[in-house]
Amino acid sequence: MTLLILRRLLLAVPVLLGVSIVTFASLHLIPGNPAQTLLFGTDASPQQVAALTQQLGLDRPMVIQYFEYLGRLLHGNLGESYINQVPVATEIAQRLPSTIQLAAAALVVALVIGVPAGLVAGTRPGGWLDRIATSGAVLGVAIPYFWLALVLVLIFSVKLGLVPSLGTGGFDSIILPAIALGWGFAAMIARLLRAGLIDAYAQPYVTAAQARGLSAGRILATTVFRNACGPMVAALGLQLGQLLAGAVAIEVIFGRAGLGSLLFNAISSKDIPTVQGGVLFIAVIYVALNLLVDVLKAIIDPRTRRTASS
Amino acid sequence: MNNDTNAADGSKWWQWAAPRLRRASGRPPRLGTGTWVIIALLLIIVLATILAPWISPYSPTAVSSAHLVGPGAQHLFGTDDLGRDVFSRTLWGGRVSLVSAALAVLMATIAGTALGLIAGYSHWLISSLIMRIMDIVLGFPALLLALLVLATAGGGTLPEAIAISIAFVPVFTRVVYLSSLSIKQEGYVTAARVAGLRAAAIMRKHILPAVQAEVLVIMTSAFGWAILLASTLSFLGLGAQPPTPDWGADLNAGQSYLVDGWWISLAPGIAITITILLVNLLGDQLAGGTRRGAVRRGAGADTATVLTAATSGTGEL
Repeated sequence: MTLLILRRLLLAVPVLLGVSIVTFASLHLIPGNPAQTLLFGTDASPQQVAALTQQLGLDRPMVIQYFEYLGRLLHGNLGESYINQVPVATEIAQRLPSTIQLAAAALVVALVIGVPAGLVAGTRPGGWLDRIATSGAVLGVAIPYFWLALVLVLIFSVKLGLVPSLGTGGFDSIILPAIALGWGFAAMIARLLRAGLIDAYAQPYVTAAQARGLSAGRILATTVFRNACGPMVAALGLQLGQLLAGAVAIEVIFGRAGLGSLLFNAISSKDIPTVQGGVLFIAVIYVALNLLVDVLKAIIDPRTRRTASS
Repeated sequence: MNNDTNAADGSKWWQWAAPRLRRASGRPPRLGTGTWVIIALLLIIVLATILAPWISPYSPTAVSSAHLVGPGAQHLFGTDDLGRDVFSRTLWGGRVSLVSAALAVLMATIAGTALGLIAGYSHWLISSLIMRIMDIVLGFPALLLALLVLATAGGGTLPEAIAISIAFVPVFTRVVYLSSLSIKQEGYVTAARVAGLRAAAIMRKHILPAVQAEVLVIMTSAFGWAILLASTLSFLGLGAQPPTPDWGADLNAGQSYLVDGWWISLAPGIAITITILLVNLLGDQLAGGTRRGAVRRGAGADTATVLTAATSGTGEL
């Protein structure tokens, strides 16, 4: 177990380094000098542009800039925003709670809808409840989440006036964004759980348990569910990372000041340090969640421990 | 390889293809009536966007004085804030999304398959280098990677397609790589090698045909996700630029008129949903993993799947 975790941690290092190189390099390939962009519209002289270029260290060789960047990263310094000179780490820290709230709420929506739907579908495959759940899942994954967001706003805010369509206020302002973001994930969970259950029910230990006269509910609770959870748990962790990315569109639509909208604005305004910091931050979370999921999987299903740590 | 055994494992978007791939064991899929119906419906959508210049009742960019007119006989899906016909814009709007999604999948297929073949048949140094780079690409959520690429390359159909395709390349690479690892143990590959065929020829003539069916299934599944990504990017204003009609961009434009013109964002939204739905259903059908079939045969009959193995763990050797 410890070996597994160590192995995974070790493997994450080159990936993280690669991620930092990609974010660093891609943003430096943007056409146009950021200093020029920053001073755009202020009729700065070429001397001023050159001075700012030097001040930002943009005139030095790329490799040196990268290692300086990496060195600062190791100290938790993500640089300062070009736009408002606020440290990127501070900005991310301010915006993070809102995005975590959104992702967590979306996850709750996904679990509350997805797990029962998957259970109903997977325990009686082919039945009419399964058909409804499966059709819903197929439709759920086809609906673009940003369109779903608009439809929800139209129905529940504009027509019915039940919940606000904008802002990060109280509890009711998170309902629609969470449903929009969590719906597709619910469909995915339902489908994965269904497939896992069908897989698990086909195993000989189920027949053995039935032969021993265990009730259907008991079989499901003691053996089948645990075995069927694997794919779903794997998706859970990974999808949380996707939720953080998917939050970009949702936060923009609902005017939420989170990580996603921070990134979106930074990309529009070519605020390189903020984009780098934000992307890197999400990628690190993503890799960390992968790691967590592997460990979680090993806890739920002891069989994976042997194969994964050998 | 050891990680690939803990297979029953979904990850990211392509886990949707996982149940499908279970039955895509190297054989070309047989097409039933249902599949042909889905293909016909998809063709209608594609034809509608191609024939848009001839069949759309109005020009998609022609401004008129009929602002925000609701759906009716004059304007089937109503008009937008500038008096443009929403139905015509919806017909035209598929062009950008569908073309960039198709381009993206095509590029990812070619690059990913080639890399997978090379990784599967080369010295371990080369193959582990390729696979580690794929790990890094997989370290980003797809949308984030696309945003990053678009921020770098600027807007336009080609940059958008490239941005989307990069996120998909590792999926093709991993699947092809893992399959070719087992295929190269086959007798006919050894025979070809003994006969003195060069590596490139073996990959092309003996390994590639064996992975075709798998690649086809992933292509279908990736196409659905590519349409979603493409429309997300245009929705965020990073794809097609106004006044170009585009499903994603028009959805965004309609957002400001939810109160007075809810129909503006309705038609493009339905268009995206139906297209993705059909593509996903086609993917299901191609893999032969229809719902009833899976139940009858017991979905658990053949567990070790190519795709789940390919996408679980780190794919290390």
